[in-house]
Amino acid sequence: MAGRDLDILERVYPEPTTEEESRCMELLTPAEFEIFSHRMQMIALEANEVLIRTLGSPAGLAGDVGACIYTAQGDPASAAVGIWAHAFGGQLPIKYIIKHWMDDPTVGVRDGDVFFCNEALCGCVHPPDMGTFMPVFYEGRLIAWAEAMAHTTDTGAVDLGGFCMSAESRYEEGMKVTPIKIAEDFQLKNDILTMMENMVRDARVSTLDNKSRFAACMRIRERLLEVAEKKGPDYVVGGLRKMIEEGSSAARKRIEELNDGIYRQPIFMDMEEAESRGGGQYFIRVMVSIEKRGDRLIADLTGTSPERATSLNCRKHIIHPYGTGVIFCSHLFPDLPPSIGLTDCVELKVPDGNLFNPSEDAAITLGPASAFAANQGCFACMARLLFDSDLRSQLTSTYPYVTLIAVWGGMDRKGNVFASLGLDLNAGGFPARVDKDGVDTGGFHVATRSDCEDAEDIDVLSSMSYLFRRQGTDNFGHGMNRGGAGLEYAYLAHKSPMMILGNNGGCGRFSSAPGIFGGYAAPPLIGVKLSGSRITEMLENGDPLTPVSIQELLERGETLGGTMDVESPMLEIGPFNEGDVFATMQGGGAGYGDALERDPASVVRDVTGGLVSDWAARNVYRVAFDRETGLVDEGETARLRSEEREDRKRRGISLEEFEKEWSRKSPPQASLKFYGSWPNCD
Amino acid sequence: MGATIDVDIGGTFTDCFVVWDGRYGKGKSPTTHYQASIGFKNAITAAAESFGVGLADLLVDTEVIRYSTTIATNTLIEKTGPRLGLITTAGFEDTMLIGRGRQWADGLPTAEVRNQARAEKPEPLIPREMIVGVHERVDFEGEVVAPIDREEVREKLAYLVNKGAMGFVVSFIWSCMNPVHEQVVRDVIMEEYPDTYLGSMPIILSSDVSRKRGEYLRTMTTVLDAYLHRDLSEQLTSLNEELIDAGYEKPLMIIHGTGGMSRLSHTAAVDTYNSGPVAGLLGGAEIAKMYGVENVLVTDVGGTSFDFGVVVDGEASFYDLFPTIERWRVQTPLLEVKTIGAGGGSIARISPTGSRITVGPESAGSMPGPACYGLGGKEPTVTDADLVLGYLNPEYYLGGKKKLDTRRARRAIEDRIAKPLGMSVEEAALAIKRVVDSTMGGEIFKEVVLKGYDPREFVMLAYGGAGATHCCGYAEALDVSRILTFPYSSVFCAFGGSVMDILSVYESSDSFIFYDNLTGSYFDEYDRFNLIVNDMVFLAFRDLKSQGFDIDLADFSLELEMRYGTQFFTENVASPVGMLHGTEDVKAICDRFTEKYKVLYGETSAYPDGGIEVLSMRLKATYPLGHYRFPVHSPDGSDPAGALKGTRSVVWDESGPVSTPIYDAALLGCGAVVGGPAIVEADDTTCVVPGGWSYAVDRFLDGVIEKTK
Repeated sequence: MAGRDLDILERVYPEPTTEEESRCMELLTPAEFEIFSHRMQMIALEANEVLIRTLGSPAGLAGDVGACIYTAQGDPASAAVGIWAHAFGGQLPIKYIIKHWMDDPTVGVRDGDVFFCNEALCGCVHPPDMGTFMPVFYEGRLIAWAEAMAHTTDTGAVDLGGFCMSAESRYEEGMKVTPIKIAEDFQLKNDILTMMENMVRDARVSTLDNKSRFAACMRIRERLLEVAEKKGPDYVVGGLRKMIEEGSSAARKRIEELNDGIYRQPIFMDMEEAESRGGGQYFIRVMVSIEKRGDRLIADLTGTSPERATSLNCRKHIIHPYGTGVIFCSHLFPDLPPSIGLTDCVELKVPDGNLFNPSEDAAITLGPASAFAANQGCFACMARLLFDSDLRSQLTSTYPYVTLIAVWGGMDRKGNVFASLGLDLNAGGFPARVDKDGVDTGGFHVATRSDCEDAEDIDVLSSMSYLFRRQGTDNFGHGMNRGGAGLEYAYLAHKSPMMILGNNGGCGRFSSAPGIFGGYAAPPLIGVKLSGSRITEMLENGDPLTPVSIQELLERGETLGGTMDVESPMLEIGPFNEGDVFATMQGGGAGYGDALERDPASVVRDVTGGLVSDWAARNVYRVAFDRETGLVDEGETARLRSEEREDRKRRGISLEEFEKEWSRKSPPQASLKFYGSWPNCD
Repeated sequence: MGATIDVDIGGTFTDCFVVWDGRYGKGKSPTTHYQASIGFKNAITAAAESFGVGLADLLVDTEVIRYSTTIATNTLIEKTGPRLGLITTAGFEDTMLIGRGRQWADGLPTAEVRNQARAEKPEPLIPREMIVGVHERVDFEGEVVAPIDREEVREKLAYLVNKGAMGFVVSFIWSCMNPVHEQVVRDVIMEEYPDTYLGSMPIILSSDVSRKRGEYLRTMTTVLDAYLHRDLSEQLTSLNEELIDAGYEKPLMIIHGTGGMSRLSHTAAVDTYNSGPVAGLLGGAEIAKMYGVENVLVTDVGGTSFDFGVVVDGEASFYDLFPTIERWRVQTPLLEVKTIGAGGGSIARISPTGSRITVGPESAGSMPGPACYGLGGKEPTVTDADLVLGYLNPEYYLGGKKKLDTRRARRAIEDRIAKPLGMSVEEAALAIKRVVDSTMGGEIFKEVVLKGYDPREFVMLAYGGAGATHCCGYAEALDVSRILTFPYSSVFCAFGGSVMDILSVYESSDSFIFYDNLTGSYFDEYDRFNLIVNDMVFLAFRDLKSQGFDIDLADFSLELEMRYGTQFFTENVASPVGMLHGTEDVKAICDRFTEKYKVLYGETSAYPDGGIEVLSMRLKATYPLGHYRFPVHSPDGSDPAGALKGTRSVVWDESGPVSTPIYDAALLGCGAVVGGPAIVEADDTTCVVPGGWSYAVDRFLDGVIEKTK
């Protein structure tokens, strides 16, 4: 038996080029190579579209998918996304299959087989991210692999919706399948489909998604064989390897041109413990250090909090696909072909027992959130690395690490049982740039092609409605260039036969995104739960005081009736009864540069647009203007800003004094239970 | 019968196709953006000249003028629409700005979408300060949950008017299910602001524009309609006045991007978007019928872009799954004509990795244009490559109207491509041609196979300035073996207008569970379904009658958007029945859906056990119009040698430089056949016929290019 093979998790880099691949690469001239690359991109896009059009889970609407063509050795060569991690996330399961099943007479890898896997210990991200992998044989020769991955919204875990905030070990996280044949001889196996239906709450989504992934893999196979038939299998083998080698050498060349140095950024994640486990706020530190040396980047996560008994643990191999996708494909090298070759230059150091290198039994379904925090630290480090380089325009402040994901289920308005999740996470704010503001409600930073839904869609995806849905005020980092605003919204239980709601997330106390070069951090986030309220009655009466923003919810508190809890955005899964309201927001992007240097007219524009409050205009940007006409009082603004600069000098203390005072401080002991030893997580 | 005139006002040229007295004429004139009517008239005048008459003589005997226009595109690019106010549900004022989150990527090519670090949402068509919220609420079933307060509406209107609103868009949550509150706002506007103030200011309700779910898409469709309204209205008024002055007083019909056409009074401004390319696609459908072929690929290679569309079973019936107008997603059911940045002006570069040659999407445009134009362009383009390879005649480009500079073309390719890659100039030019042909072929391939068809079974139509030059190249990438080119290729979209029928599209977003997975039963509320179909038929009758058409001649078809279980996306299914009379009808529709699904996604992909749902319905009402029939000619027995202009050295993919015969298209008679390699030069395009292909002039005098081996 293969058993668990954790060695496979180390094989995140391209496999060494074989002699056969080297020989085949020589077949492609520059023109042939461009034609081949374009063809591969078209194939991946076609498969990605097949996925989107046929999925049963909201991943179809969101585009929370990926399709990719892999080399015969299991290296991702050409991807279409969705989410980059979905496209690149198949390499370890495929390498597992090659290593363990290829020569196993009880399994084998044959033409027409399709494998399924969602087990992180075999290289997947986390259980809801389910992938299928299909070997592509041409006249008996394995020339490539097809991969299709999509987030399926339920795994039958202890919590519905795929994300398990209450899981303490992997054994509460639902279905976890090691690489297994879901199809043979080009036919999906009904026994396997039935087994999976049996393990989850929403059987229809399970089967539709499996059929969808299968169709996407079949499409890639069909197209690759057409190319092989026309141009020969060597053309395919050589072209795929060349795409990886090209990415690798180009990325290294660019990295080499950057300044050597070591860049560090701590990220503090604060989360809320479930009431069932005693409640309370706690902190985790993610320590990111990037050393740039020659054509190498060494990312070191030493100093991060230890593994903990919640599902925020994250397997280190998933740092690579997330890092590759969002940093390398979307920011550093958007003009280079997206392949795993781009990360060949990155070395990752993570000590055992660290949050990013937990034990085998650790719960990991919320691991992507931790990966995003590491990602955020990388962005902060990269901003400093890129500032003095030709890539400065690609520099950004940081994205909000926390992505608030609502999970829900119950019975829909047609009588079907459902378990699913919300797509509001795809409307977070983007960070400020060196020369411009961040994008308001720009999306989910790791998912370059993912959408949030229309407000009316939620009535179809769940059995509740939005009470309001808008761009948040001041929920981003201010600065010379400000971060983009995150989405602010409230759910209202309305005509709900049975609705269960939870919300994964944190950042109730600490910033969700640190600023850069004097820009402000994005603020903490908020969650407002209103139970047994008068909101439905207020609506019926046409009461103009019916709240349409979180600020109005808070201001009108007691007049709304019921019980209001104002906490972090974390909402423990539970019944969401008629008239209940849950309001929260997605994080905004962090700011860039000193807010006192911001163009006053832009501040006024943002106040008018509801993105910046009067308070922030006055106290952060120090802008004086006429609320009626919107005209800036230039003289008064200059005076206020000058006064603030002088005040800053007066408030300033020496580094020694600061360190002395700062070193005495500590968060409350209760909030450090998952932190490791204060302050350095040793 | 008198003449019919079809005009396509494009971005660069205004094209005209006239049918009169049993034959056709064509005209072309630069588009005059400052006043479209001038170019419009000039193009018709040019066409009139081909009949040997003046403009007035033609117009006096003209039955109908139809036209397509790019004004929607111009208005959006130049941001010349009016200052609008948007009235929406309180708490949802930012709907337009949020979009689907990833709004910054909408309408951009894939390469730009990759660059997330530089993402930017488009400037909203209505600034945030011009968006107001009103307390009201209708729910997903259309039930009024919160009443609307007229006084609050008045206050918000006063604010917008004070801020300078020149038109109003009203879009409330779930108004697609119950428009009552939107109608209240319109009533209040009409009460508060007299006609003298409103004048031609639009008041557009989202529920009048679309009845489909999705408030962002519905709002954007409505906003675009209002935003485009003024410029379109002004253009039409100006055209009308010019035509009346010239003696024409009959109808002016407007072509729609939906594939339909109607009078001004029945045209929503947003419907005119992309109407030119759509007319070209419908022209392709007519050609398919004329030749008795079912499946046709319609391709148009211009200077900066490559447009293509698909005709199956003689019909252009594929609607865009994610229609985007410039940078905005909409709900208008636009006929699908895809565009990519590849054309004669596309710039060739070496990739940042130094290992490949890329072509486009950046274009040198018409200014400075390709290096060979001699207008300052330094970067090598597809046209430069075509010139270096000998495909284009430097002395006879556009019939000699434009001289090309081969020396500049060679230098651009040598400096930017050939030298850095250690190739000869000819090798580099050939590589550029192959890359752009392959790119165009690859894009078509993906779209055709996603529709469930095999490109090899299609006949290709090639038009546009460079269509005939590159068609064999991209046909190779698709394994297409038969291509049609046309003497009216340069005005093909205008020709397309001449074959269009009156078509109106009506949609409803009522949903029905056709197969219930919980009970295992089929839908049986036939009256509910039929009532909605009847309502749409009634609207169609009303619209046709009000335009003066005989409703007995109208033809109706019903399409359903269907899905399995919990899917979000739907497939469009042509309903085999118009009304439901029993379970058999429901089953027939379900079976049709499953058959189509299997073709698209494979035999095992269908999942009827998960439940089958109809999410929306679309009724198409067609009123047929008489179309011009091209006369059929007989082979005249003329020797192609009589059309031989000479020879020149042409570089071919398979054989390198070969002394190649050059023919004058105008002198090739019916039945003439020219074997490749050969070049056939016309005054508006150059047809490149590689070895292994032949060029023949058929009975309609069209150029048929076929693979011979």
